[in-house]
Amino acid sequence: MGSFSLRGWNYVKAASIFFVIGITGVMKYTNEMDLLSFGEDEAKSNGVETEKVKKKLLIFSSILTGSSVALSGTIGFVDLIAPHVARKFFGSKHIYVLPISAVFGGALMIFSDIIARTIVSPSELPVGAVTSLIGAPFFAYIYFKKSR
Amino acid sequence: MFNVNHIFCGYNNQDIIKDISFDLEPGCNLSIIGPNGCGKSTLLKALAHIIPYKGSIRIDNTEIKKMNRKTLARNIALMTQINSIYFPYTVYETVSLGRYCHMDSVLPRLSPLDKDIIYDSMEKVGLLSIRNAKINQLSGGQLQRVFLAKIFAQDPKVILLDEPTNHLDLRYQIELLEYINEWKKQKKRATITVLHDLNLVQEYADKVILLSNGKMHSYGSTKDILINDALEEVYRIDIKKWMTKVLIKWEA
Repeated sequence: MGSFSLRGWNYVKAASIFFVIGITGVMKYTNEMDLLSFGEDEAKSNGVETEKVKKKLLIFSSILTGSSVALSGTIGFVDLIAPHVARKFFGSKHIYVLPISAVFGGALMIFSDIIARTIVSPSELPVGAVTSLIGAPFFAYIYFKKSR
Repeated sequence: MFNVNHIFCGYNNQDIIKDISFDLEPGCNLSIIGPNGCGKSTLLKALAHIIPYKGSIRIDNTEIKKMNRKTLARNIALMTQINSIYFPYTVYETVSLGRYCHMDSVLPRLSPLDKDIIYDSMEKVGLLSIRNAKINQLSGGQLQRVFLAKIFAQDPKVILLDEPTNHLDLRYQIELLEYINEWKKQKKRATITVLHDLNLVQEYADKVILLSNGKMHSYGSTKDILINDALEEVYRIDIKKWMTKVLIKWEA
């Protein structure tokens, strides 16, 4: 399970290069992502070069995901909670959803890391355990709310 | 303006549409009719170059295969049947996506002119009062109007509509076709519509293509196609007898 233990500022510096490249890349295609969310035919009919855009998005999102996982290991649920909360409060347009998800996801990680470092102090829990504790009930709530 | 010459298309290297040719002038309403599975939606997808085709489709003497997607979208728009809404965009946000093909590639932002066109498109179909509503909370009729406004905002020369009146009650069916007719007259644009209801075809189409097993069975003015025996041959029912029976019941 992923953790931030023993990760210093050098790791942040290294990851920030990939973060800037990845986030700049995906932010260029927010309109295309909006159109693709209505289906591929709809996006093509509106002028999106769907094959090219999908390939580029795959590359940039792989850069973001790969660098994050290389830094901290696998930490579940943040990627699912953050965009969901961003959409709830700021609407569905990807131009808002992407940066707000990044900020909210980061804040959630700091909050989870504080809990992971203090709850069984002086020992430390993996941060992934805390995000799972938050994420699992969150998704159970969404699932049951939607089925009602 | 819009010329289709001997096109063949389909899926997995198998042609579903075989040798279709027709011409369309600005301001013309063309309806495509035919039994289920005869290739109507496939033909529309080829006309919008969503799927590859053999043959020639030209708009203003330019082959659509040679256009990039944005240029093509400024000329031809396809209104597909959208079955699922994944994210709750607002009405305004959805309609504004229609302007994508007119935006600058480097800095894709809505200009004041784009915003005027979006508001005008929403006004044309009576959506201004619910422009901030989420599209997943709208009725089927309202949702169809949203996608129609998006097409109007796209402002193409030819609109392709795939069964736009599906799942709509009679009032909404007529209302939707009236909006399309009004827009077409005002802008002098052409429409190609797949319709199942022959009464609506009679009312709104100027020309009709009758498809049978992917081939063009007949093509001509609405009157010519709907009154001859072609319909009986393709649909395999005695339409005149059935319609007369319905009218007698109606009168009684």
